[in-house]
Amino acid sequence: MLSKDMIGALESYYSKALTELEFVKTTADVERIRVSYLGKKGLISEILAKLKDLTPDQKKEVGQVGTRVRGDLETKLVSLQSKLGEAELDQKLVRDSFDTTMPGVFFASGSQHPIKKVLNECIEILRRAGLVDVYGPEVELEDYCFDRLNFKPGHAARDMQATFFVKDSDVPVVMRTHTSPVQVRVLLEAAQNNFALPIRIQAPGRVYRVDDDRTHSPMFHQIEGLGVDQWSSMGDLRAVLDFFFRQFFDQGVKVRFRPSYFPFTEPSVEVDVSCVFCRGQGCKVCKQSGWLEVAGAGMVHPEVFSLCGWDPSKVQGWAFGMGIERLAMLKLGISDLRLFFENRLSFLRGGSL
Amino acid sequence: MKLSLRALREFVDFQGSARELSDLLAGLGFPTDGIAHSGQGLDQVVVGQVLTKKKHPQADRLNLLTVSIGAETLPIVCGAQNMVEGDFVALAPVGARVPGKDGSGLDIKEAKIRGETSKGMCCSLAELALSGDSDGIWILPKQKITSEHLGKKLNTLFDLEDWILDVDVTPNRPDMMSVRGAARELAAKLGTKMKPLNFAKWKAGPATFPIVESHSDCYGFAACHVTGVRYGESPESLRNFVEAAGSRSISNLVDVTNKVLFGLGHPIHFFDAEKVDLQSLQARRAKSGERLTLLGGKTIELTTEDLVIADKTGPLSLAGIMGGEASSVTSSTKSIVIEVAAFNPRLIRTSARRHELSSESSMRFERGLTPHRLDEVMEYALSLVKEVSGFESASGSKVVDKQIKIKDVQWDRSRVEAKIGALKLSDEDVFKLLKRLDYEVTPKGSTVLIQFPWYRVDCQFLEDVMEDVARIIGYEELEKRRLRIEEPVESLLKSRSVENLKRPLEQSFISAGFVEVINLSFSSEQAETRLGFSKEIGHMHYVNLSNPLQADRDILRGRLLPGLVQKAVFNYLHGEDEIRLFETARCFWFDKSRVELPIVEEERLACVWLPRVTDEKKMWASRVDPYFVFKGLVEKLWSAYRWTAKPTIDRPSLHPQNWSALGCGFYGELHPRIVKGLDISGRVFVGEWTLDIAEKKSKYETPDQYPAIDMDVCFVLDRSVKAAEILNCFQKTKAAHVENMALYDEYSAPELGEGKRSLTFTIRYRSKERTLTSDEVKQSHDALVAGALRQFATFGIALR
Repeated sequence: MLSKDMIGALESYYSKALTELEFVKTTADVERIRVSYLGKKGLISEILAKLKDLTPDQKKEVGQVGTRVRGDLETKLVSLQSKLGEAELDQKLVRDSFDTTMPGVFFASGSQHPIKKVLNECIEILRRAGLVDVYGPEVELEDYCFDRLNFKPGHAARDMQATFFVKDSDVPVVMRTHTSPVQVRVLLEAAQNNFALPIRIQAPGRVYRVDDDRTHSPMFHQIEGLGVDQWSSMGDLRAVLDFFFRQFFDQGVKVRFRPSYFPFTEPSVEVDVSCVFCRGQGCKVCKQSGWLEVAGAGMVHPEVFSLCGWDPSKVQGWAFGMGIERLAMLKLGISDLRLFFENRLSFLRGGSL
Repeated sequence: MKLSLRALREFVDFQGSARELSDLLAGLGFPTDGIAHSGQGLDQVVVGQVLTKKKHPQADRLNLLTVSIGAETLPIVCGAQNMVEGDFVALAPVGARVPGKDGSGLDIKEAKIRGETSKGMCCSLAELALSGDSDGIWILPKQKITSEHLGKKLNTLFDLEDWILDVDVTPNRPDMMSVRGAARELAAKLGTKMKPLNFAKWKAGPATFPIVESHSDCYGFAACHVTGVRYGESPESLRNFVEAAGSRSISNLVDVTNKVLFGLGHPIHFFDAEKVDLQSLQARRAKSGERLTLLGGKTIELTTEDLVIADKTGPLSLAGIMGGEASSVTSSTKSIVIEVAAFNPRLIRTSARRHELSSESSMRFERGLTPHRLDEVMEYALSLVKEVSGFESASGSKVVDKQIKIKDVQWDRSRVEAKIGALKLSDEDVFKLLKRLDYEVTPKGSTVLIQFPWYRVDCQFLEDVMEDVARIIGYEELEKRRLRIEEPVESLLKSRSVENLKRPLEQSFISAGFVEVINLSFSSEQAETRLGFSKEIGHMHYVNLSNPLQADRDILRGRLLPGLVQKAVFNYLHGEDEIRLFETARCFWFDKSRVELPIVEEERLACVWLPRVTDEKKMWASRVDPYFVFKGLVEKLWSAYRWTAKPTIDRPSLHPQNWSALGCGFYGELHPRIVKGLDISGRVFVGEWTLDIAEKKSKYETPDQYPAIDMDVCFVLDRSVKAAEILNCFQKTKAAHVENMALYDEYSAPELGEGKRSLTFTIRYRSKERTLTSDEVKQSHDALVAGALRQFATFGIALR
């Protein structure tokens, strides 16, 4: 074949290919065209394969045309391929997609018990106030639960806390009725440890009383605080409780002390917060008083110091205690105590805090 | 304690309302549980007189009355029987509104009752909220009401309106169990004066009378023989006083004892003097075997732990708790012996508990009454007897333990301020305030002695004085401080480190879909052993309670699973889905060999899974056997922890194959027989562990630099060979460069042969120093494969 004919054929295949490309619809068509012109046995490739038989001048002449034609064609093919490819992918995604309204794989949802949520929150707040959490036994020596906390044997104060007694023990053993025996354990231990000060502890945990009705559970939770040093006053107790309740509820909450009686503190106070439902305006929950009773507190009784091995003229301190169930009911808006211990999943999985 | 506003005004000049009184008392430490308003509807009720009374023709229990209210005569149908013609009654005419028995209000309407018209209602005391209960309608007293009063409103004739506060009194304040106590607190707070009481004198009588066996039982005993008394009805004011305090009016003399009890807070007793041998009247311990018939007819067996008032014939009354029937005041009583005493509160308390007798009297003695002012009580009682009955003579004497002193303490302003904050009041003002509470303040050289009030039983420290100062000033007036954080001395109670690990562990169970429950610690032996647990662990047994709330909750749980599985079943029966529960709590065991406290408290975690999904959640349900889901979950959850103590935990009855030990605990499938006994269908997976745990140390290393080569091997062999045995065998071969190995496929098919299965393992080879050559890897791999082929030759092992 003459070089002229070869150039003519190249130009003719090129324009034929361009014409064919005008009618392509799919990437497969594009590919077919590529193969038929530029594939190994393609029309253009076959012509170019014969270049080796030509003279250098002819080679140069035909080669130039061949390179241009092939380059142009290739560029056009690639751009068409990608243009059609994208459209085809879009169509494919629509065509092949599944029914996304079907449900996802079912995962059971876990949850923390509401009492634990509130208890842990209390622990965290008190940690921020500098109180180290310590834990004592739930089955406790009667001596630590009452006597060393200045509940005198035979005193009517013991009746304030109906107590479960353990059988068969040589020493009297009770289910602790409050977390306060942890105070005794901490004071006794610190007394052995050269009366190290200051003491700043919190004691969260379970407590038990012989009581079972709409508003009492025989097992419930308390958290206790104790601060001992040489200078802490009622004013410092007030500061800790102010901090606690403002953090626990909100910063608008007011705290009030009312005189009361506990054998292990003197002076003793009941702690009220302004009603969190009506902001102290008076409502059903606070019985129109604007206040909610939430804790008991006071200055550690000198007898408690003496009974735990300390000289009450040399140290002083405060203590407080409160019921977690009460706080949880107020915070979570739960009105029936029994729901906490019934443990129905649909209650426990209920909303988040 | 029930506190009547009207009664209070007998003791102190207080013009405020009941609500104000309630607020003041609450501020002093005595909150009010409720306020009842009595005598409210009396302006709606008029005096009527029964003219005729006959039976209702249609109903035997009803009476047809005609009642005159002066201007007109009304037909009334009445259910009560206690009226006779001529009686004056409290009539609520049509349109009136009276409090009603439950206090919710009762509107009177014209009604036809069984065909008879009724134009009003004859009221009972209860319907007018004047008394808790009442028999029949209120018959108005004839000495006060005459026919002139017909149609007059009752509130113009009777002064009956009152407010009764239900006051909470703390156990340290027996003195506040009285109207005078409340009045005194109020006067101190408001700075007003108490009203003086009336007293009547008594003469000194025979010195041998009364006798006190032991001053540690009876701190003081005054007895007075009063002659010429007249038994009768109480005057209205006395009746109102005792009824407002929650008692019933019985007779003038009995009501006097109750007025002293409620008024002064010091219970006293009247004996019929003719039934008592005065010369041998004494307070003594009962003798074993003695019996006493109490007021009301109950007879009790006495022990040497009971204190009695007795004469030579035997016990007359159970001291401080209840009088005896035989010596009691009756309508024929002409003379009385008044007993005013102070007893050891412990004796009274244990006696009252033992005989299950709690009275207004024992409640006060239990809290402690002092013997310092017995005369005052006696003279107040005498003045009341004089007023309501009159008497001819009163003589007697008293025995008091002289050793009992009123405590005092030295004033120390700096200590007071250190504890309750800086005071704005001067010392003098503080002392004035204390005197209002019956403290005595005596300067002694450069110091000041503060003597506690004679009636306060458990005061002995300066702190007790501080409290009273703070109470009267008001806590809101005390100095406030800013939060001051001090680094505490760490106390070394051991459970704390576990507490810090528990929280992330619990969180990971929650993330794995487990819901946390809190069960009560109480259980029963039957409930505890239901899952196949034993009753003892070694020499330890369950902790038994002496006084359980219910017979089937008489022990403390020794494991968590019994209660947890029960809650899973409970939720299953309520149709809950995909029940995954966990709990962390303490388990309790009684261990006599332990010193100090014979109890082992073990912190544990348990979980249970009932893999049940209802149809709505079955889409995509896993086809993996749930055992492997549970195993994977549990192993993952514990992967960050190790146990620090040796296992002591025992297992319930589990599926013979489907379980495994893990740390100080186990997990697995509950035995299908046990599950059947729980009345549920399906499979139950459980696990329980002790929480003697520590975190596994994290190891941070440079990641591997050279590529790994994974090689597979597939065996066909008898089913009886476990995958783990083959992995163990690989491990034992100790081939070089093995980094990791795992089973990744199990395949069973008939063409493999009867009882055979195919297991495919992948083994990863890697060196830390260089890239391994394929020859090196092949050498190691061949050794592993050859080892397995050798070891399991008898199990028909072959490469596939």
